[in-house]
Amino acid sequence: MPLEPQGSQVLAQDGNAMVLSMGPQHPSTHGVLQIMLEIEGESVVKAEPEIGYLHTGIEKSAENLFWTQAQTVIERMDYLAPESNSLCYALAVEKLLGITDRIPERAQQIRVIVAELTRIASHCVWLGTHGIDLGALSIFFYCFDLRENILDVQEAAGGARMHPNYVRIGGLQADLPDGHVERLDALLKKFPTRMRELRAILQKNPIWQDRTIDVGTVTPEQAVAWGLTGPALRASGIAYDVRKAFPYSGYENYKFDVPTRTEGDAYARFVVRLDEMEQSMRIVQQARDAMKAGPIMIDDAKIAPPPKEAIALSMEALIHHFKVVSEGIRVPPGDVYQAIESPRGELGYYVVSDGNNKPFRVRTRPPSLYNLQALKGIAPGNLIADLVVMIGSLDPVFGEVDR
Amino acid sequence: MIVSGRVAQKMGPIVKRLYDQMADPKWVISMGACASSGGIFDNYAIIQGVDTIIPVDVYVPGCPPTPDGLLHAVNLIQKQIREGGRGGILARA
Amino acid sequence: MDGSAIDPTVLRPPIEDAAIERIAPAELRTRLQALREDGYMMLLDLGAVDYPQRVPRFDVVYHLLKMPVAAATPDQIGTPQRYRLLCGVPIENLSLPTITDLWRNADWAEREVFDLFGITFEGHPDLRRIQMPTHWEGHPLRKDYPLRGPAKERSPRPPFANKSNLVAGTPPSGRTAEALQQQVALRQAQDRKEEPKA
Repeated sequence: MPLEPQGSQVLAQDGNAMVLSMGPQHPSTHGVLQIMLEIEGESVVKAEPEIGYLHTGIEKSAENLFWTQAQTVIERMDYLAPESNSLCYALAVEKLLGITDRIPERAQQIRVIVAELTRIASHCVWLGTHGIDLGALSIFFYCFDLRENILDVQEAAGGARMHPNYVRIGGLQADLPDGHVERLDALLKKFPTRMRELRAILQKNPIWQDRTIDVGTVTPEQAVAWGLTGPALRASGIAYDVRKAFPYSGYENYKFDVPTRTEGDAYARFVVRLDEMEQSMRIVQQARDAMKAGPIMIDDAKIAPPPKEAIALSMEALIHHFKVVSEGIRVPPGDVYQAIESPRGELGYYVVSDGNNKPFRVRTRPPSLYNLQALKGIAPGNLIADLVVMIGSLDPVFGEVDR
Repeated sequence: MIVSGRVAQKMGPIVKRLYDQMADPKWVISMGACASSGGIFDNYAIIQGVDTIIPVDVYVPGCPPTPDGLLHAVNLIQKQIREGGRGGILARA
Repeated sequence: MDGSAIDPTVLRPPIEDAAIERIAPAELRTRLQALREDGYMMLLDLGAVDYPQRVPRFDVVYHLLKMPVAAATPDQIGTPQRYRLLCGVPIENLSLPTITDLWRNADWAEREVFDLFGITFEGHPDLRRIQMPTHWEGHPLRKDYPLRGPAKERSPRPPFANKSNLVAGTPPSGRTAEALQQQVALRQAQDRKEEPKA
């Protein structure tokens, strides 16, 4: 008998109850999730998710890299919304450095655009894969087409489709390329039609409604007890959004609603996320209209390397560049907790610095971990097929759960 | 089988078991730097290259690999299949 | 290294939006219960930090959020109060009381602290490793645990990893010196043939 079940297999059979390991390799568990199910027939008596199949030791790696190098590994935690991780880490380190109010306004606006586009892209993956799990195959293509358009825009700005490492400590890596505003405009023009199509496919679909209404209902007390945040919490009625509660990066300047539902079931979470996509595009429109010209990186040579053009002309610029790249920046000692609203919920970093050029500890508050843990509470009493609906509606990303 | 992304210590035996369960002839694509060699995660938690536990036919570089990189890998596998490459027990060491 | 602070938690950066308190393990549960009755209904996070040069060595950090438990609009929620509770855990007594009966989501967080740091939680319903395999030895996120894991001899490449259907000594890509010279000769011949037209 192997120590850890490898693959779906029956582990024990006792009377009517059976313990089944819905193993780490499964098409519907959205990644490497193993669920130890105690089932009677088709209904779940107990569900215990087992995680750790994607544990990457990111937090330990970050302790051995410079502050800016650590950002590359940290970006790979939530791999469906990578710029959120980058943004939260950069904001946390900027808090420690004490430069939060010196970040240029253009950099903040572009950060907001990048963060909101990432949110829409992440929700596209969620909707496509959620649909596939339940058998609705065509929505996958609509969602991923929209995601491709967004990733093309992100690639033009940041240099890579995923993990562009575009948001840096102190600002951004580089300014937007020429013609980027036109690209954004094309995307903004295409979006309402695509959003209508996404809604038309599933929102009033009787099969979809049959499978998601009253499935995985979470009351507000349960949601707070399980530490749910993000769309799962807002679908239960509590409109906690970190962008409104603890505004960062200029979010207080944009007008947007926080979609909330009160039913708390999978259908409510579905509608909340769809509404959120529209609100995100509204924010992108406002940020694009209010975009100011100016620098995109803080003007402090101890934190940000000087622009490459200055290196040929100024000795100090060359020295600063060399120091920042070879020795890293130095962050004053202290500890700070910074949270942002990632597509999955409240993503927080508790960053501890001991004054060196490497982070001392980067503890992540992963929203997906706490969202997934709620499965233990809401799964019992449902069918196995409903379990798939619940996992999809909670939207876990295992890079973040396991780190 | 496409091994995409990083392979953690807990997942290693499972990938090996899945490979054993595949029917012959079988080919393996190791997609991404983290699956091919451990990538940027040179630490205790990641298996430094999935080819330490299963034989790999095509490696795709990148972190993350580009879509055209993966398509090229699939083309290379098709070429290996046509020209009688390593897949299957006959070509194994 | 110059500039290394031994205990960064006693220094506060200028911007801080949480109430911060340090507490000893003996008063931890009573304080947390009092906070929960005060309205801190959500446990945001439970993590640990290892300060090897400090006594007590470990810090377990609790992040709490004052959150209503009934439906509320964004204006009603406003800016909820955050609370950060730091609890020093000495290496001689690596144990804390569990809080899974107060906040259910402490379950996995405490398991992770046990797995990666070695701090046990008394009263936890199911304290076992969560991220590392069951029979892993050591607690990886401690500062004295090596980054690359325990030293083990590199296993030789398994025999099936050698490309056996190629002549021994030929590089797998087929690019030898002779092949390169042939390519150069071919290209030079092509250039000479095209020269009269250029």
